Parts: sequence; C-alpha cells; structure tokens
Amino acid sequence: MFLRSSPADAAPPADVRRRPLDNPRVLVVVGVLLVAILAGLFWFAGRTSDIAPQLLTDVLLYALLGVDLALLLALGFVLARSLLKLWVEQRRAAPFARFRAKLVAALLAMTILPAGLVLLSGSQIIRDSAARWFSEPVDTVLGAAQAIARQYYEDQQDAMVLRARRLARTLPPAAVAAGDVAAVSGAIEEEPRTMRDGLVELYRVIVDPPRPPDVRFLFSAQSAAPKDHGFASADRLAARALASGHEETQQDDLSAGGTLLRAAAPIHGRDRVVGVVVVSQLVSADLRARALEATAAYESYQGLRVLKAPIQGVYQSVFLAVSLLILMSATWLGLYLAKRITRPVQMLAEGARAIGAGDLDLRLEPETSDELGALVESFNMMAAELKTSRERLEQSRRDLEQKNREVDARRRYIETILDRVATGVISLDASGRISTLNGAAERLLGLDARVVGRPATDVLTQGDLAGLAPVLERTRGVQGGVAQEVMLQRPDGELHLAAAATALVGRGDRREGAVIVLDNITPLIRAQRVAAWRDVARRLAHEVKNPLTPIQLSAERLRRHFGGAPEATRALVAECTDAIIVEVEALKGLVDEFAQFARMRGPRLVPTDLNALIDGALLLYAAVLQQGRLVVQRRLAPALPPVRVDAEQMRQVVINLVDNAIEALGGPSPPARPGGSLPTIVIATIDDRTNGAVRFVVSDNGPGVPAADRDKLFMPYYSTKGRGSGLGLAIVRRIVVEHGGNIQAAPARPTGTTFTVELPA
Amino acid sequence: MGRRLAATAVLCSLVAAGPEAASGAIRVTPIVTPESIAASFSAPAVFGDEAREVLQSGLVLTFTFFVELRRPSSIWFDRTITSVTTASSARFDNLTGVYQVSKLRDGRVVWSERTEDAAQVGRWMTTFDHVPLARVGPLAADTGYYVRVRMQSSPRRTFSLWPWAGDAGSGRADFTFGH
Repeated sequence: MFLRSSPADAAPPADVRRRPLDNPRVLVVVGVLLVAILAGLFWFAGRTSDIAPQLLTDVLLYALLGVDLALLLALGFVLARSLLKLWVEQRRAAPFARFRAKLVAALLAMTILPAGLVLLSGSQIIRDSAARWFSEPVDTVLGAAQAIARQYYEDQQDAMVLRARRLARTLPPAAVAAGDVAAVSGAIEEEPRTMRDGLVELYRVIVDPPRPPDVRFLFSAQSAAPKDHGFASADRLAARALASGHEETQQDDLSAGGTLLRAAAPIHGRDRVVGVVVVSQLVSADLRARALEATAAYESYQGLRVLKAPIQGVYQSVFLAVSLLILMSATWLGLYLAKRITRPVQMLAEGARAIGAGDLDLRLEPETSDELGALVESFNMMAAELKTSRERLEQSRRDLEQKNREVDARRRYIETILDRVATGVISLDASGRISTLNGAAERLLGLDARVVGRPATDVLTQGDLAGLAPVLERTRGVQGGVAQEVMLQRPDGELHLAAAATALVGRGDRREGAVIVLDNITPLIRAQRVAAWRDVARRLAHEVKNPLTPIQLSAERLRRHFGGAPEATRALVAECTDAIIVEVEALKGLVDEFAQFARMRGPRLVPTDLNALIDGALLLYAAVLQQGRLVVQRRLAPALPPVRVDAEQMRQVVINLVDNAIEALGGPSPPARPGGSLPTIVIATIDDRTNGAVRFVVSDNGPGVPAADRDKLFMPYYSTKGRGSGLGLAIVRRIVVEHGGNIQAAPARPTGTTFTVELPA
Repeated sequence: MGRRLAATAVLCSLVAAGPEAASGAIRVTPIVTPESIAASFSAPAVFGDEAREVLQSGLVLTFTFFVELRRPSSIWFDRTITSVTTASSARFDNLTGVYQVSKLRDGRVVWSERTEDAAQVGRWMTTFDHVPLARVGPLAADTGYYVRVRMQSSPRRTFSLWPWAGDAGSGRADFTFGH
C-alpha cells in the first residue's frame, strides 16, 4: 500500500513503484530459491563421504564456516535493522508503533526460540550420531575381513616365494648358465601342474663385462595362465632379484581382472647368480574384487574414524547453515508479516492524519483485494467525498463572503448616506434600546455614539429632549408610522423638528424595533415667519405711510393758523404740532425700513474678496474708532478664497452686525467698564473649505443676550435697545439665508455675543 | 679460486650450524655454496601415530613444507627473498601392505618409491636434502639471513575455527652470508 497524493483522480504517478518484496512473484522466486539452497545443502551433506579428504578438511569445511558466518551476520543485520526501526518509530510516536513492536516481538519469539532449540538439539544429535558411527563389532568385522583378504594375499605371495626358492635350488645351475633348456624343462613344466593358474618363467644371467649382468628369458611353462600377463613385468622382477641376490615379490593387476602374484628367486651358481626363476599365480577377478571390497570398506571406515572431527564439523556446519537460513527466513518472514499486517493500518492512520491536516488529494493504493483492500477503497471513497464536500463548502464560503462583502459595502454606503444626510435617523431594537444613530441625529440632539445600546427612554425623554417623549411613546405597539412636529428648547435657541417614527415589524407581526427620523425644520419655520413679517411690513408700510403726509401737513397748517393767536395758545399749538411732525417723521423712517425689508431684492452673486469687503465696511467706523473708546480687532484669514456673494448686501450684513455690536457695547462712546477693559469688537474670517464653507465672525465683549432671547434676535421688531425698528438682524439673516448660508448667535467668553455667518465657499 | 670458494662455503656452513634447529620441530640446515643456497631439513617428529593412523586408513597423507629464505628486519616485517613449496605424500595399500611414497616440488612429482617398511616411509616423508632456494647473487655480504620451514599436514584430523592457524611444525635456521 502506498500513499499517493494526486491533484485529481488521475492514474497513479509513474514514480510510485512497489518494492520488489511486495511483489508476490518475487516472493515465490525467493521461496523457491530458499528451498533450492536448503535442498543443495542437504544434498551436499549426503555427499560428504565422496569428497576428497583434503578438499573436505582444508576447503569445504571453512567455506561452510564462512557461509555460517555470513548467515549469522545477515541474521544480526536483519534483527538489528528491524529493532532499530521499531525504536525509531516508537521515538517518533508513529501510528501503531507499539502494536507493531508487540507483533514483531511475538513473531520473533515464535521463530527464534524454536529455531534455537532445534539448533541446540540438532547439534547434540549430530555429536551423538557421530559417536555411534564407530562401534566395536563393526570395527572388528571390518578389520577381520580386511585382515583375511590381506592375509590371503600374503599367504599366496609366501607360497610363490617358497615355490620359486625350491625351484631355484632344484634346477641345475650349470644347465641354467649354459642355457640348456632340455636339462631344465622337465622340472619347469612339472611345477605349473601342481598349481592352479600357475606360471613359471626361467631367466638366464648373461655376463658380458664391462656391462653389468643381465637376465634373458630362457623358458616358461604355465597351466591356464592368463593371456594378458606382462612379460616385461616378469623381466623387471627377474632383474630386481638378480640385483638384490635374493627373492623378490611383485603383484601385477591384470586388465582382464584378477591379480598375478609373482615371486622371483635367484639361482646361485658356484660363484655367481646364473639364473632367476619367476613363479606366478593368478588370483581370480572375483576373489580380487571381494578382497578390494573388504579393503575399501575397511579403509572407508578407518577414513571416517580419522576424519571424524572434520566430518562432524561439516555436518554441524551444514546443519548450522540450514538452521540459520531457516531462522533468518523465519525472522524475515515474521518481520515481513508484521509489516504486512500493520502497514495497511499504519498507512490508513497516516492517511487519516494527512486528511485531517487538509490533504484531501491523498489516496491510498491497495495492495490486496481482501478486506484490507476494501477498507482502503472505502478510505479513498471517504477522502473523495470529503474533498467534494469541502469544495462545495469552500464555494459556499466564497459566495457567502462575496455576499457579505456586498452587504458590508451596502451597509457602509447606507451608513455614509445616513451620516451625510441632514436628516437624523435613530434606530431602536425590539427592546427599545438605541441601535444606531447617524451624525445628523447626533448634531440635532446633541448626542454622541456612547448612547448606542442605552434605552431610548433614558436618552430621548430626558432634559431638553423631553419633547421627543410623545414620539417615542407612539412608536410602541404602533404598526405603520407617526409623524409630528416637535419643538426642543436648546441652549442656543429653539429647534423645530419634524419627527417621524416607524415601527419595524417582522414576520408574524413580531416587533423588531423602530426607526425615528428627524428633520430640522427650524430654518423653514424661520423663513415662514420672515415671510409673514414681510407681508406684515408691506401692509404696514402701505397702510401707515399713506396717512402720515396728511397728518404732517395738517399739523403744519394748524401751526400756521395759530401763528397769530395769543402767545400761550400759539406756544401750545407750536409745541403740539412740533411733536406731531417729529413723530410723523419718525413713523416715516420706520415705515421706510419696513418697506425696505419688504421690498428687499434677491442677491446677485459674484466672486468677492470677503476680507476686502470687510475692510471697506470698517472704513465707515474710522471716526468712531479714532475716539479710542472702543477697539476693533481684525483677524482675517489669509488667502481666503473668493466667495460668491452680493457685495452690496453682504456689506449691509457686516455693517448691521458691527452696528449691533457697537450698540451692545453702549454706543460709539461707551462708558468706562468696571474692570478697566476696553470694549472690543473682534471681526474674523475663517477658511473652512474642507467643509465647503467660509465663515466670518463678529464678536463683542458686551453684556450678552439671555439664552431665552437669543433665538429672537433675528425676529423682526425685536430689539433690546428700546429704539430702532428691530429689523437689523432680521435683514442680516434674510440676506444670509438668501445667499444659502446660515447665521448663529452664541454667547462669547467671558461675556458678550458672537455672531457666526457661514457662507458656501 | 677453488680453495677460496670452499672456504666461503665452510664458513657459511659453520655460521649456520650454530642456530640450527634452534626452534620448532623441524631441523633446518641451510647450505650455502658459492653458486646457490639450498636447505636440508627433517621433521621426524611429525610422522607419529596420527600420521600412521591416517595412512593405515587408506587415505593419502601429505606433508607440505613451505621453505622460505628470509632476511630479518628489526623495524619492519622480515622480507622473504624466495620461497619454495615442497611436499611428500604417501598412500598405504591395505591389501598388499605396500606404501607408495612420492615427493613433489611446486606441484610436480620429483621422486617416487614403494616400500613395505613404515619407518622408511616416515624417513622419506620427513627428510629433504638440498632443496634449492636461490642463487647467491641477490644476497648481501655479511648480512644475516634465515631459512624458515613451515609444515602443514593433510588431511587435518582436528578442526580449528581459523583455517590458517596451527602449522603442524616449523623450524628456522639463521646464518650470515659471508664473502
């Protein structure tokens, strides 16, 4: 089984190769080879007696020892390698390492212990068997048989010597020396008749100085002598007898079988050897074969005795080699089986771990088609299903992320819109707690983000926001929406809001919260008031101005009519008519202002340098400033961008605000102030292009305006001076509003009032 | 000239006679002539009962003698000048009671004889005369040499784990090559 990680369900990669020993064919070949080696060893052990002793003791024995040593080293290597691998696996906490170690230990115990016992008992059996090879009866029988055979040969040989000696004594030396065959043939021919398969050969000694004496064949007689006996052999034997001067013996093995036992005896003359008689007798082939068999058996037995220790060593070496081979094979087989059993499970565990780590492309290649193979297939199917599920889940996650991004973008877009719009929006959850409120709501209500999460009733019904309580109350349990106008009394004046509350109802009419929308309608209210006052002014101017001239003319006519009247009458009339005329003139001025307020034209906007415009307007107050009774500080922002305004109207705004400040300080010649500080007017411009606006501020350190009256400052006919028309600041606000701007009055620090005009940049 | 050579040979022989048979079971006698160096050696003790028993069993008994002419060194291994391997083998015919004895030199049979006398067999197998070793040319004058003879018997009746251990006998004779 192999771990294989493939990106797709493709064919196994080419580099994944099985180990040779995982191939059943290789295992079969190895098994056959092992059996062949064992058979060879047994065959060799059976042929030990046929091997030459020197080869056996000097070569084969040590070759077998070398084989034993090699097998022992191989066994040690296999064991050491396996134990080391098990140790390493345990150290690495590999899956199933302990189980594998136990299995290997059990299998090794099952193989090594029996093999060791067999080795010890087998060695003892070999030693005992070798001791039993040499028993006394066998020794006696074989020795006796060999002795009989040898004794027979010796007896026959001795008999031949006696015959030859007797013949040598009976033959006449002179006849032999003279080569007289007739004289000796009788005795020679008689002798073979007394023998079975006998042969007698007579040699005469030739003396021919200076050459040494030599033998020459003279005569022979035989009785059924073998045809292939060698004459040369008899010649050599005769020569030896001549040389030695006494009997000589010889054995000639014949090619046709049998052995020719020969004996030569010299025939002594008076002073020398004159001849040699050679007597031979055939030992039959059967007898010779039997004698050789007895001798061979004896020699084989004795050879075993002599080579007992080396042969025993050979047997033990062979047995040791076989035992080691079996032991090594069993050990390796045990390890192999342990691996075959644990490896699939181990690989499954590793595969599960890899899949758990996220490698869903991993597949296991089954090695077998049994239950483990089915388990591997199931594992692969599980991995494939996991991969498919994970891909689907990943796709769903990507889709969800995309939707979340879209929703988040939409939410941010809506938040941005809500934050930018001038309409305040407050959302409440089902429990009535504030969930969100946008920037406009914060600005309108003077709140901040810290109120999020607090109950709306704790926030929107307290203090100056108490006016919202009815709206909040009506959001409870109301389906649909409610809208009403709310007036809040803020420190900087009245704040008119159009409040709309809508309850959020989910499925099953379940209340999920509410949304309160607040629109600042204060400018609209003011504009409506201004419009109303313009209409009043126009009517007032129209209705009041017309009778003023007749009244003034009538008063002048009365004064002229009573010009000749008595002094007291004339003085009274003059005083009354003067008062009438003065008041009529005042009413005319008032009516003119009203008419101006009512007929004010729309602004003609052109880019204008606001700083220069302010400087020009302040020139009108040069005489006042020269008196040194009050101070005007200019804090004009440098590089102020041009502002699209109607210069004439905006100049009127600056003059009216400065006039208002001078009046607030007590007029052009204000009285001394208790603290000694000078009455001061501060005129400043502010570049706020980041918010798309330019502001200019007129501030005084006068007594200031009560908070309750601050919002009334811009109402027509409101004046704290007790004189004038009260239209100055109303005109200012109208001009500013018609320029698209805004004006606010706020208390100055430490005293006084600050007017801030905000114009679009 | 002849007298001088003879004197040299006598001198060498006398020098060699001193340490002759100083060690081992093999008696070694180096023979230095004006032309060559030979060695005679005998090891009668090695032909004992075990050898006779091997012969009586019909096995071929072989004595192999490794004859080496060496120059000793005090700081390194002794240097072998030349070496000769000679052997004697015998086989006993249990049927006829005859011993067949042969002598071999470097694997070639140089002598053979038959006898029924076991003692004679022992003498033949353990006595070697004038085994030529080398010519005197390569030898340095007034230098010590020695002839070492090691013998191995086959077949072995004993069994040793180390195949090269256990020479059946050895002998050494030192001599100084004079001039």
